[in-house]
Amino acid sequence: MRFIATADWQLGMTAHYLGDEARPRFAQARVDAIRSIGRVAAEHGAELVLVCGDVFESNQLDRAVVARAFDALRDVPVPVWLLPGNHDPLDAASIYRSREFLDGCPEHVHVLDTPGVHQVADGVEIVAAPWFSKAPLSDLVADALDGVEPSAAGGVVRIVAGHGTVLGIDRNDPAGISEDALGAAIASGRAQFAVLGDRHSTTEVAERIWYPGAPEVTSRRETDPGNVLVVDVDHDEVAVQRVGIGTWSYLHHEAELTGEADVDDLERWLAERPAKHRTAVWLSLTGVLSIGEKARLDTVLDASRDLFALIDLWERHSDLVVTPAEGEFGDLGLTGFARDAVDELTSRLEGDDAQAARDALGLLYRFSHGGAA
Amino acid sequence: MRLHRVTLTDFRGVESSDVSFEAPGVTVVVGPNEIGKSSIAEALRLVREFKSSSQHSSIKSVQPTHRDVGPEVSIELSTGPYRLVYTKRWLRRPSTELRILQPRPAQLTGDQAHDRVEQIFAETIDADLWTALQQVQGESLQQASLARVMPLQSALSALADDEVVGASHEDLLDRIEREFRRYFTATGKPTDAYAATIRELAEREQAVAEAGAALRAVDGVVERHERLTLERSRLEARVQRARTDADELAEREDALSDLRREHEAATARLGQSDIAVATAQAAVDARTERVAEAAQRAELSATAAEAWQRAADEHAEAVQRLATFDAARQDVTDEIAALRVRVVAAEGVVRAVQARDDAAVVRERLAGIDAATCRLEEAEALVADNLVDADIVQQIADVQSRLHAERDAAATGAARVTVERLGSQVVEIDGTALDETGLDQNVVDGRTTRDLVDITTVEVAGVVRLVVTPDDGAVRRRRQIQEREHQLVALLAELGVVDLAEARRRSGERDDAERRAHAATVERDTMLAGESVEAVRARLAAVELVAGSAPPDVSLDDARATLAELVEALDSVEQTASATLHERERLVAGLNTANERRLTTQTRAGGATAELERATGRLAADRETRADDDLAGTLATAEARRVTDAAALEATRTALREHDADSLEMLATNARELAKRLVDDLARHDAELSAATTELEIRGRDGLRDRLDGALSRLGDTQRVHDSLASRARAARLLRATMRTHRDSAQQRYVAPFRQAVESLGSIVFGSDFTVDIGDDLSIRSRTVSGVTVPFDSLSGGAKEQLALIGRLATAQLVSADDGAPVILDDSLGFTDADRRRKLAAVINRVGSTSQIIILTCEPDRFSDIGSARTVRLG
Repeated sequence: MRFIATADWQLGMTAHYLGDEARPRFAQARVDAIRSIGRVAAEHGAELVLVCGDVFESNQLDRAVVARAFDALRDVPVPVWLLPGNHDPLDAASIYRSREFLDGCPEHVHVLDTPGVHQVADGVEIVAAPWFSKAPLSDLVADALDGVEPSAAGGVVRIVAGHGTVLGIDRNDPAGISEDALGAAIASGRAQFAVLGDRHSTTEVAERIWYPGAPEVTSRRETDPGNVLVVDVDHDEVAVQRVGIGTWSYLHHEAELTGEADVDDLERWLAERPAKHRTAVWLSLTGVLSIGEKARLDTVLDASRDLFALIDLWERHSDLVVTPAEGEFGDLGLTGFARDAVDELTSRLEGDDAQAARDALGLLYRFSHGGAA
Repeated sequence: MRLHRVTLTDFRGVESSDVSFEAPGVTVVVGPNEIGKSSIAEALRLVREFKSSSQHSSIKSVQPTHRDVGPEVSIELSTGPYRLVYTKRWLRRPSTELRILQPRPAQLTGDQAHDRVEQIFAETIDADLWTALQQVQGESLQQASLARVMPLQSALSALADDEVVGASHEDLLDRIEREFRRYFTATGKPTDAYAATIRELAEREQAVAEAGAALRAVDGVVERHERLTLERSRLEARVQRARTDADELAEREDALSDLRREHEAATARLGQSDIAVATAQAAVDARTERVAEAAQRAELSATAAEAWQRAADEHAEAVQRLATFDAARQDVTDEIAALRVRVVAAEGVVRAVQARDDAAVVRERLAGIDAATCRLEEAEALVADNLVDADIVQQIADVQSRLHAERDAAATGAARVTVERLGSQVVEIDGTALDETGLDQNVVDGRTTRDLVDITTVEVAGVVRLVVTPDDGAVRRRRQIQEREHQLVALLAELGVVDLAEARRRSGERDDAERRAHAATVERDTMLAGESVEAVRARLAAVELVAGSAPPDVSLDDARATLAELVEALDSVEQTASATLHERERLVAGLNTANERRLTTQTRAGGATAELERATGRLAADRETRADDDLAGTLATAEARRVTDAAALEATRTALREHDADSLEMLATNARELAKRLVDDLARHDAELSAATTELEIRGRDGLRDRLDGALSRLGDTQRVHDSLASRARAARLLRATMRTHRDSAQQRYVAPFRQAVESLGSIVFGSDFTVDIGDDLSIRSRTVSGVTVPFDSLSGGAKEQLALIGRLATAQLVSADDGAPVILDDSLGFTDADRRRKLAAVINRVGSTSQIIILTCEPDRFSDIGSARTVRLG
């Protein structure tokens, strides 16, 4: 039995840290991912697509997102099973119960809206653990599995559809999924595979327990997003194949800058990035630059900003010291009180207002440099 | 640059003038008039600005009128390494000629010459300094513009104690200022664009907060919905349970209702029979009461009649008693009357006997009184006859003793005459013979001695007579004795006595008589006891009258005893009579009481009889209506009925108790109310639930999450813009502030030498406490004299003029000779008074020692005090 395991589509998510030009592209990429999943399903002959939670970013979304999602889902050639997660629980405000969803839902799209066993195909059952509120007080997966008997070899194949952290990641979460209980259920033949949502990086918890992760990146902290899983499973064997479909990259780049050459290296590194308009870069810069070098760095970054979806300094991880190099201002014909001012600003580079002092020196450098005459 | 000589030809009114200047030194150029004096300045300007070919109106204005000649100017000056003579003629035969004397002689003409001069000037003369040091006519109150004068700046920089290079970085400062003004207004407030960004940031933060709150509000509704749903299912279960309970209890209630009705009927019946019994009992009681009343009335009537009879008897008895008593009492009254007559008689006897006894006593007393009176009269007669009383006796005794004393005295002190008869001759003394014994006792043996108290005559008859005359004293004493003797004799004669002894005896007799009189008086008075004799006699007469002529011959005591006996007898009888009177009064009172009682009881007996008749009447009437037996029968029947009904009620009550009817009813009521309330609760819950659902439906479609995301995105955009702007603004502000701070401090150091120069020169004019504040542009901002600071613009015209001049002179002094330019003053000091002018002259003289100063004037007197000045005339 082959199916596509995916989760955390987070439809409707807005990346407000992006510029207003990149933001709609980023949102669109999330919808486009659905079509990519449809293509993967078709290419691999999967029987169904199982989405384990957080299909929508929130229940409080403009319902237009539902229409756009359905439009993309119609391009998926196999049945799609959606599990409500912590972002889109089946509470009173649930998007799954909205008129737009109920009226517009394509026939091959199903919501796993009750806990327990759903027959999804001949010989295939999904043991669903949907969320009914944002903060359940028990292990929903264990609850769903309660009373499910082992199936005989060669008989029905059961896939557990769950959402949440696996215990051990966050022990204080009452809704945490007990890995032991889940592993034991699989070992005893009550289920053959478990797909979990909530973790956006593709993660293998155990041989038959996987987080497929988000199909499109959502945060700079994610280590391996942008994948879906093609899963072959029966009572005897299991094979999981990652298929990358993500088009966006979130990069965290660290660089130590100590001179013109390092700035050049950074420039080169940036230039070599593919698909820059779908790439967001957070830079952690350390080292010491002269005023001139810093001006050059600013020029490089400004230029990159026009190309990339985002170029941002990760302030918390950055510690770039800028200080006038020997003779840097001497060459600019600054004499007398201007020279004194430079000295004072330089001394302030150590103080509380270092940033302003640095910028002021940069400004002075620019003005003197441009208008030395 | 130094001007050495200016030659004007056909220039304005000057046909030809050649003026050479002190260099350095002060040259006063005196022009013919206002316009003429400025010709030198004008010539210097024109020769530089206009080529010889120029037809400019300025050139034309200096052409002499009515003469067809071209104005010509020739100047000789040295500047930098050069010394040259430059000559120009305009309008008529224009020509330009340059003769360079140093460093290398050369000669040029035409435009070539003009260009070369410009080149040399540009090379060696600072145009700003040149302009600054020229004080143009009519502008003497304005300060020179020194801000951009490079030679001065160089000089000041050179003088500043540290390395303050003269670079003003004006352009840099301008750019910084422009950058600053992109973000801030002149007063340091954010500019519109920057402020708008700050405002927008706040607005967008607010928007995010609001969107977040809206989203959280929905979460709240979701939670409420969840809670309500849970409670609703619980409520539903409870409603079901309450309904079941209520139904079951209602069924049991129905079964009990018949029994309850029976119970109520029995209760009602018992109530009725209770009333019947009470009615019958009341009738029987009323009858019994009537009977009892009649009996009681009869009894009362009999008692009253009996009492009346008794009272009547008692009354009669009392009347009888009084009559008997009154009869007995008459005897006693008679006896008293008899006794009273006898008592009166006895009293008469007693009085007569008493009077007889009294009269005897009084008579006896009268006799005593008369005897005493007799003795008194006798004694008093004796006294009256005897005048010799004790006083007179004393008087005689005194006279006599005094006489003796006088005689003794006369004898003792008197002269003595002793006569002694010696012979036989008779010696007579005072006619008495001496030997006659009788003559004198003192004759002793024929010798006699006499006191000589009187004239003594001793005579021997026929022999001698001796008359001895005593002294006057002795005579007087003799006479005195004689008088005393007469007095004694007279006294004795008056009293009829012979001598003192008789007098004494007679005095004793008188005393005795007096004593007897006194004793008789005392006795009489005692017996009278204060009464007069007449009163005693009157009393005797009165008593004798009472006693009568023949008093009974009984003793007083006997008479009295008889009277006492009689009185006693009377008393006794009278007492008896008094006692019987009391008794009678008592009897009369008893009679009255009895009579009263008789009347009262009579009335009562009448009333009681009437009451009895009425009661008997009523009873008879009642009985006629219903007989006694009838009433008793009715009561018995009713009582029997009541017993039956009570038993029936008890039976139903027991039955109800057996079914626990009370608690069942309470339970059923409670169950019904509970069910009703729970249904209400459920309805309310449903309403809330549906409200929540509706709210969620509406809000859910709003896309609150999208709104929050939108708000966050917009905030992010603004934040980026703002942060970038803010950091640039901070940088610009910091840079500007830092630059200005350092510039200002540099400026202050930099202007210091200029200020010192100005103050040094100015103190000559304004006094030693003169100071100035110098601006960054080297202008004089304010002047302080005697602690009073006045801004330049507020100073008087004279002070302005003086300060402006001093500024120029200071500049000239500071700038080195090579870089310098002449100070040219055109029509100066018009505003300055003579005193200040004299002081300024000293200043100008001082500066003139190192700098070139040219003064153009038409009033040379103004500058006549400048010591070293050379005066030249134009034209």
